[in-house]
Amino acid sequence: MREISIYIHIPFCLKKCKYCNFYSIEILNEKNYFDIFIDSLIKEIKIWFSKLNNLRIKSIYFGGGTPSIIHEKFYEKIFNEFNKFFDVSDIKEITIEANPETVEKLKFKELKKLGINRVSLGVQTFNDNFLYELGRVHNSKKIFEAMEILKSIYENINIDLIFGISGENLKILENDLTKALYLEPKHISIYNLEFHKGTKLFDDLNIKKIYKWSEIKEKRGYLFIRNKLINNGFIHYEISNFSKDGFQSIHNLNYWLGGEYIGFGPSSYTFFKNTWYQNGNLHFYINSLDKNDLPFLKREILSNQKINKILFILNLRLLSGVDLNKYKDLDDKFYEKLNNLIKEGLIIKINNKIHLSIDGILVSNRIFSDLL
Amino acid sequence: MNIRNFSIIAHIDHGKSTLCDRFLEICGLTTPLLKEGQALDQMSLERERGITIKSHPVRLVYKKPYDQYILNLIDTPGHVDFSYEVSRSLSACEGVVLLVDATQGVEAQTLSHYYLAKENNLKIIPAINKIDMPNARIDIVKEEIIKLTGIENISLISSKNGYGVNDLLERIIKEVPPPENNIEKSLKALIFDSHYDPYKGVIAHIRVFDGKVEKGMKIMLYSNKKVFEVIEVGIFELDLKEKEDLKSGEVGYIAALIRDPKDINVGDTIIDSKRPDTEPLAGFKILKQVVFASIFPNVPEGFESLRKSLDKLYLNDPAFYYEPEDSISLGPGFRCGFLGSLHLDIIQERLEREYNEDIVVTYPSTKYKVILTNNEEIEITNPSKFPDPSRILEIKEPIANIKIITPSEFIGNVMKLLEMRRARFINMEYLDPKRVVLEYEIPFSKIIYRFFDDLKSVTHGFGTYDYSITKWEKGDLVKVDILINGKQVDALSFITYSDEAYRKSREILIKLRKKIPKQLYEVILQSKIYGKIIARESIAPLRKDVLQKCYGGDVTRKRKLLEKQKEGKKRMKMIGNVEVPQDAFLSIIELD
Repeated sequence: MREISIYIHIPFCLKKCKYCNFYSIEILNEKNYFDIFIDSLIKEIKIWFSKLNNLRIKSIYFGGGTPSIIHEKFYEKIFNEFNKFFDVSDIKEITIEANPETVEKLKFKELKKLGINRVSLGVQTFNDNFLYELGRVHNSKKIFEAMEILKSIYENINIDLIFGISGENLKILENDLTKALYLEPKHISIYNLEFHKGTKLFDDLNIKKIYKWSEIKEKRGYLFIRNKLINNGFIHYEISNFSKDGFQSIHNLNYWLGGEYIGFGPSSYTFFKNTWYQNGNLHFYINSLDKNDLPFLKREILSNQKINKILFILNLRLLSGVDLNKYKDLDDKFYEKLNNLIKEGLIIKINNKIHLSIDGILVSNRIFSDLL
Repeated sequence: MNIRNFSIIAHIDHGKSTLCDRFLEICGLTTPLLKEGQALDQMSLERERGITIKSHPVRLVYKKPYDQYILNLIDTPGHVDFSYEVSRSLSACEGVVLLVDATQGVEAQTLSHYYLAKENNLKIIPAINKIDMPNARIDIVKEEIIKLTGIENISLISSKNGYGVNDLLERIIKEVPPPENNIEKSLKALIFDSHYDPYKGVIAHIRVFDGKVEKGMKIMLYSNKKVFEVIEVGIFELDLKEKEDLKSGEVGYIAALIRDPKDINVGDTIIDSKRPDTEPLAGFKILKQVVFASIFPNVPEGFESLRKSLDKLYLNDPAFYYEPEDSISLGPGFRCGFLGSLHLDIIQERLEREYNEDIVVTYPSTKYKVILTNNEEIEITNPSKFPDPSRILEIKEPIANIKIITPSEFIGNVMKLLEMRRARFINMEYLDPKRVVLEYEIPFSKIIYRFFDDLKSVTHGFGTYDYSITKWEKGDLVKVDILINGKQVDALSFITYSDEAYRKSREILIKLRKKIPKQLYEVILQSKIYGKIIARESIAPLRKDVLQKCYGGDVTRKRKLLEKQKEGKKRMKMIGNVEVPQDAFLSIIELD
């Protein structure tokens, strides 16, 4: 039996955040696309699953965009379609991403009934100035209101935080963490603000309207977060992810452990049978499915050696480490690099397992590009 | 004999190529297409730089009502580095036109070329060009020429609009003596240039002094005694034109299926292989490279392609030399020798532009003579090959005699520039009330890098120079090594004066510190003389990189990004465990 995860990309937002480089469309212009988008999505699900059998679905994840923006009736359609192929109630984790301004009690009650059992709330920061600076639609008050609603319905809630905002200091960061902990989520993802080319924030940085934290400040910030969360009963299990015991994200663990996944929706990615697929954008997506074609924009088949390296690097993100017995196809040069990193104390080897050290985590991006 | 062999000598940009074009036109050789540019400058690079690198002869027929003359115009390269080639071209002639720009006056190359012509006992016809320009200073320039040559009969021309060009041509016919006719003697011909033809091999450009050469004849190259059978003889029009033979006094070419350009040396004498005892023409010397640099492909995979390009380039420019070199820091490449720094520039640009090579060129160095403790003398052209100091008795460096012409208001600037470069004053002479010739002795190593640019900048573009290497002198020289994390980087070793070693090595270390990105570990940079560390810098390790998130869709995107970074890394060289970007190896070049 093949075990896979499912990702569904809902590419709509009220407003695009200044740092976001994901595929999304501001709905002011594109609201009419909802129905046709859902019809296409249903068709995509149908095409995929009528070809496959003997599958077990590990998890479903609705990401975006802002998945909570579309009406629950659309989710009902999606779940009805899923139930034609497998029993959704067997799936351990079904997550939806939400932004505070879209959290309504009735909607989330309905979603729970359909089978969604985990919510990932985009909080980012509790500082209203920074929320504005980042181009977020909500304010801190909305966060508390949203959490109150969600907690009355769901047990398993994640909140997303961002650190490294221009003007932010460790004091402000501590305040964010205190408020986040007060809300008692079971899972916290905290990201170092990135400045991607093509985002407004990147432009702001270039014209020096804002600045980037220094290396040392970022290092201190990260270690501060880590200590604070660990002291509050969280387990640090992936570079950017912390959870209470038993609440690690099944869906995301599947990515890091090299599991297969099918991505539905515009611009989503699939990893299936050693091949990576990427769907096209909304127009391409709708047009392809209209012709009963899967909306692949790109397809990439990689060598086993290459896939092994990629999966190794992904696995290394987990603090539980990489079991070397699992990766046999790696060349001598790769081991030589690993040994150098071990010598420098950036990687730790215990028995036959490889872990990033804390110093290693801090420069993990460089280590990954070294190893690739 | 109605033959005139002559050349035009001038400083760069004094209008030589345009004058050639006018001569061609008068003799009916130019096509309207060629009028655009300058017919004799073949290479695009020459056109762009406005200078002629390779001499290129042409045979003109000048018709008079009752008579016709064959004029062999031998074009000469117009830059300092090519003075030997100029001198050989001149020795194929009986006379020269000394062309001087009316707006510029006598310049450094006017001087040096004039002296070469005089040494060769040539008839000299001075001419002032560009007399129609609003800023022409005809009288002053006349005075300068008279002072230099003692010749009062100076032609005034404008090669741009043709004024005076016909008269000048008449003057050439009247004043330049016809070549001696020695047809009865055995063959003696001078090679003054060559080019390569893929089918016929090396084509030698020759001037026949004695006897004649014809198809089927077996010839011998005097310097290497090699014998070849002539497969083609001909003359230069705008293309090559085959002919029965070349007789005493004539200029033309021969092809003899000579595959290796090394066999044909400019200045060599061609003789009849049946008369191996024939005396050669005077003045032959093997071209000596004085500037050396290494050329590496930017990525190691580029090595074979670079080799092929160099092979091809060499066929048409045997004046440079190259041999494979394996650098510890930059990988496989070539050590190359050049006639001067302009020559290096030209080769570099041709590799990049004509051959599309992506290359790294190291800091140019000159040649040193090292006397070892056992009194053996060796020549060192690559600092990394310097012998162990305990074996060195003394080091000798080449010293050049340099002549600089500058407007007198910049004398101070020029003197300062020269003295900063360790030059010694010899003489100063006024060309005219406003312009001066400064003569200095200077270590050659001090003029191979950026000297031309610096001279231009301190003289507001007016200064010109010429040099010749005259002697070797003992110098207080040391070899400085640069170490990255304890590993010596051969491409960064350099030779300098002991009192400049500390300052220079500090500057290099600081440059390296800026150019080498932070690594996962600390990087120590050191400079060393004879086993002693004299300067040190360090690069702190990377403390934190971006902590990127990574989920399903990120995997592909991140991988693409990491792969892109990796591509960038391919352009980095590993010194031990340190990734060093290519341009760090050029840090040394940015020094004075």
